[in-house]
Amino acid sequence: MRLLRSFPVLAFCLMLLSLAGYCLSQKSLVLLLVAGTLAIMSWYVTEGPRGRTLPSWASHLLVLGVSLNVLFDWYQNQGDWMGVLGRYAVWLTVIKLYERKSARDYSQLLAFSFLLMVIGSLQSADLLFSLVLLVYTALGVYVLLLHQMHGAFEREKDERNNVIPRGYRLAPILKPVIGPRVGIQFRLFALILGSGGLVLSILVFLAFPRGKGEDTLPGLPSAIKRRVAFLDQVNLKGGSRITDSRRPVMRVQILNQNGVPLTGAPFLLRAGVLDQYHAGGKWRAAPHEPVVIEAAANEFSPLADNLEEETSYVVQHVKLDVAFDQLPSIATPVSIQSSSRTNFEYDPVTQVIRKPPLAGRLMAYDIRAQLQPSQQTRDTLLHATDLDRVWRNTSRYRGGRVRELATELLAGAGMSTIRPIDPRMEWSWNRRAADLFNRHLHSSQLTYTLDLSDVSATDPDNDPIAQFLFDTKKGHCEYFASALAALCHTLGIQARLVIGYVAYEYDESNREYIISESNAHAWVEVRTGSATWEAFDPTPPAVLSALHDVPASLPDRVQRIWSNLENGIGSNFLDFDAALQRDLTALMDMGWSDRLGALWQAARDWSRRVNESFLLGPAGYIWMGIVALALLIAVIALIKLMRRSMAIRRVLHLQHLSGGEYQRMLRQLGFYIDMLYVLRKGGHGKPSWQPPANFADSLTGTKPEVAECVHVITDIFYASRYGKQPLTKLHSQTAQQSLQQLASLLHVKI
Amino acid sequence: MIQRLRSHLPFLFYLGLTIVIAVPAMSNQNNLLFWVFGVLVAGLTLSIVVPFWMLRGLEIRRLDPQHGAVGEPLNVRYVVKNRKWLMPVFNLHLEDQPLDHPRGWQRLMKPARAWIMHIGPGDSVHGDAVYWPKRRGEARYCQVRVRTSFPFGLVKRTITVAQDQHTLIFPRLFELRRGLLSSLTPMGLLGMRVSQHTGSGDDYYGLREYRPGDSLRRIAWKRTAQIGELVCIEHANPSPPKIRVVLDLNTPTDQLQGSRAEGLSGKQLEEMAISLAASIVHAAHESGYEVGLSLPGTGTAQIAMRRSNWHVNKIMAALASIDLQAQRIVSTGPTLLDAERAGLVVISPARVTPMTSREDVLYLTGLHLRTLAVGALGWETVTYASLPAYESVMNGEGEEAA
Repeated sequence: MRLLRSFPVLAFCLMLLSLAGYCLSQKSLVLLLVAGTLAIMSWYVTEGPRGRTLPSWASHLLVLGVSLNVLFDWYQNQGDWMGVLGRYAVWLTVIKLYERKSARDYSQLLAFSFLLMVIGSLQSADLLFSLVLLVYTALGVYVLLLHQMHGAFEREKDERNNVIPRGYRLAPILKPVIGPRVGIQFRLFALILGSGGLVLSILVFLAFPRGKGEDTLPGLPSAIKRRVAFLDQVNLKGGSRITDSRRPVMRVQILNQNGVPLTGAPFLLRAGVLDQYHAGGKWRAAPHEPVVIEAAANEFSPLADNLEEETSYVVQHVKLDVAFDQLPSIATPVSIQSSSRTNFEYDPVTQVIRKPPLAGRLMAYDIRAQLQPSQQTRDTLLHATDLDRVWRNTSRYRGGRVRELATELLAGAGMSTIRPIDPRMEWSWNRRAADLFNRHLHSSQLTYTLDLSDVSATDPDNDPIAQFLFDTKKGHCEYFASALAALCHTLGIQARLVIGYVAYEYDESNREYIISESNAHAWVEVRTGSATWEAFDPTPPAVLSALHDVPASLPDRVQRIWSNLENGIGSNFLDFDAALQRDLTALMDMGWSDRLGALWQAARDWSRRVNESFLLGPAGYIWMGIVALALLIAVIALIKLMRRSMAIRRVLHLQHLSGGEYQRMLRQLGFYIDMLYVLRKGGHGKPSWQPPANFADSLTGTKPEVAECVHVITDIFYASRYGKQPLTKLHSQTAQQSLQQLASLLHVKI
Repeated sequence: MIQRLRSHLPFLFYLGLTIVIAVPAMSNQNNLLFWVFGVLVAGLTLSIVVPFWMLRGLEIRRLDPQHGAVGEPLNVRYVVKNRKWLMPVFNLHLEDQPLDHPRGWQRLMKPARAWIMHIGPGDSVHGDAVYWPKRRGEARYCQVRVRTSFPFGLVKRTITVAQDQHTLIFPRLFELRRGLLSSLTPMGLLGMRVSQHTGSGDDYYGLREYRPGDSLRRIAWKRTAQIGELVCIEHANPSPPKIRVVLDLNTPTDQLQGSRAEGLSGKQLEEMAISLAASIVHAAHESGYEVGLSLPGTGTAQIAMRRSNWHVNKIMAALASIDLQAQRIVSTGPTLLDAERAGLVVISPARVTPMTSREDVLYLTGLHLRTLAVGALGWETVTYASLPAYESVMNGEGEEAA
């Protein structure tokens, strides 16, 4: 009874959990406080010492009010229909908590809680919500099991009350019939059932085909903002990858050629190059023809043929926490390796290495890079690409006010505003001009900030770079880098925006840099040679280093642990996609297919040897097939025979017999087992406590024709089993005929 | 034993929900929803597999309920043994299947269920179903159906076990007016008399030799002095008054003339007569009478006059077993009625037919139940005034009348 008494409490906890989960998914503290408080109060009101429930008319009125409110809510939030539905479910749940709770009401409450969690799943994929969902599922399974029993108990009580006339006070009270140790057995059963369900659900989760049926419901809001570590574009007017989130993205170990770790932070990790500017503050990567690098497993593959021998290089071991398509790298990459055979795409224009989207998931790789590559290396890595032609086809920034500023700055520094024609002078001029602009951005009144809420509220037709330079004068690294690149572009200087990460935080214990999402950065590369691009970082370095200081306080550490956990679940669970599914399938298939293949090959070799030794030719394989088939049939027959013998021995209690008598009974009394089988299948199973003759008599009243057959078989059985008379051929035939007749009467196949 | 797997409305609802979850999961490629979908599929799989394992290795047996009575609860007990070593059984429902037989139990009472919450591995428990018989007669049971929808209530799996059994439902008993029994046994004719057995009465029975332990007051001193050894006086056992109830069923039901004024059919009158006979037998037994029963017209042998619980049950069983549909075997009545030194009451359903030359016979009809019965025995609030409507329900002539 204690089990049944625990049901209302646990069901109430489940309701609270679902309400909290939904509010968490909405990140609505107000809703959590209001609905949660009302829900908690409902327990005291309905189950407290003076427990009272809401009368039905009042609950109907409240439901009507909430329904009207939904219309108002819908009018206000027309795009958020899922949120409107969720809030409606929340208020209905709260009202339901104040009502009388029969078994049916509990069913409805559980359905509401499930609905809330499903809506939450559609709208959120946070770690906290995922944990709440996990706890909800575990508790939900237990509560559902209890609900079955509680509901059955309530229904049986009602059923009994219906049968017994009113006013009869001596009717036996329904008490749950339980065996000993019901509590522990129920909990153990729930645990095993839950574990089995978890394993099954994971199997379904892994096996369900990904990437199929996407956007089947186009209007459905997507909760999953898939963690793409790197967006290959910058939009200054909306959305930014620059964030203060401490979620780890990757861990990088940088070693010199002698294997000594380099700790001279900061290192800039290039992940993408955006060389095209589009109106409205958008930087995009121009499409270039990539070079495919077929990299062998665990072996460095050069990014270009005929590269001179590497004398001074650094090696970076990268372990990704989030799947990347672009592979971040410092300086100028020259070769790459990974643990599996992979085809990489190398862009000679931008010197960025990519992994093809369908090449599976890559979570670790090594890159060799040169910090100061020679001119020959630079030329080789270009793969004979004409950078000037590329530049001519590139869409650039052309802003009048910015050009005036650039000209003014050059004039102020005593530099010519006209680009030199001689290439060598041009590269030098480029460098000096870029350096001048860079210093101007460092020294001017521009403020670094991540809070751009008021900036985005300004006129959308404005040029965001000009707005940053002349009006708002605040922004983050993307604005600074865009301003520098724009200043260069207005004077015809070849400059491009580079996006990636800056490595600051060094983990001494693992001797590696921890790169978080907050380490996302943008800077500029200016062409200062025929194949040389020089990096300029216009973001104020002091501000940047202050922002990326290593957290030392306890909350920071807790946040880091939480971020790691979030990242682990995000990478392995929330970001599980078709590519990872393919990898997993390949991994599982490899082992089994290899083993089965080896087994099959061994069988083929053995059969070939046997065939050759007997000189049978092609017919030998047919013979071997026939023999194998016969062996298989013999094994199956033997197993069936053994099972039948064991059944006869068990049912007829022949354990104490031995010798010839035992063998005779095993051989001859199978018909009795067959009769029991037919009776059981036909819905007239003989209870084990009832003697055969008595059972046959009991059938006479209801099934006389069945009873007749059973009588015949039972008489023969008695004579053979207890009368110790060996069965004659006539007896056997009679028994078999009766058995056939019995089977046809009961419509059982034997 | 027949096993069946049945789905019902929650199963279809659950299936629909699973599909509904799968669609947005695919549309959004939302892994949380994929996992929720996995949980739902796992729940579905377990709902099919677990009941299958749960109902394996169960041994079900219905205990003999002895007998019941109209208007009183009839407890039918089931013994269920779980022969499995490890797996417990939860949430079992047991009920008797309606029997396609003229004497199937469902004619006499509404269906009832037993519920067993838990049976541990290797344990056996008893569950009881409370029936409420509405008619007298023989109730035959054939198959017990065991059902569970554990763990999630989505799929119902049932097994059916055959066990033939029958029980008798005794007629409804009424409390009769005081004075009825004494009017049957006037003191002048059938008062206290000497019994053929020794006992503790006041009448002299005889002498016997003294046995150690005999009271000195019981020694016959004169006789002792005559023969020279101790002799004791024995007293006769007082014999209780006797009543023989004769239920005259010589007239077939279809030839009976129902009471138009009362709105009663012939069959209802017969049932009332049976109930009246049972009530008289019960009242006489309670008052210390020896009771006997004769059932002319049914072919049943005459039951001698005795006084014991077992004997009353035997009479009640005879009354319960009367099959009004059966062909009547007309007889003129027991020939010993005149010689018996017992009160005699002859109950006819409708019209009284003299059966004996005795003048002290009390002739009653089924309609006399209305005047003689004070109220129904037991706790059911049925009075003689509500009998017609009630009996029509008994005969299945209309549920609404109840």
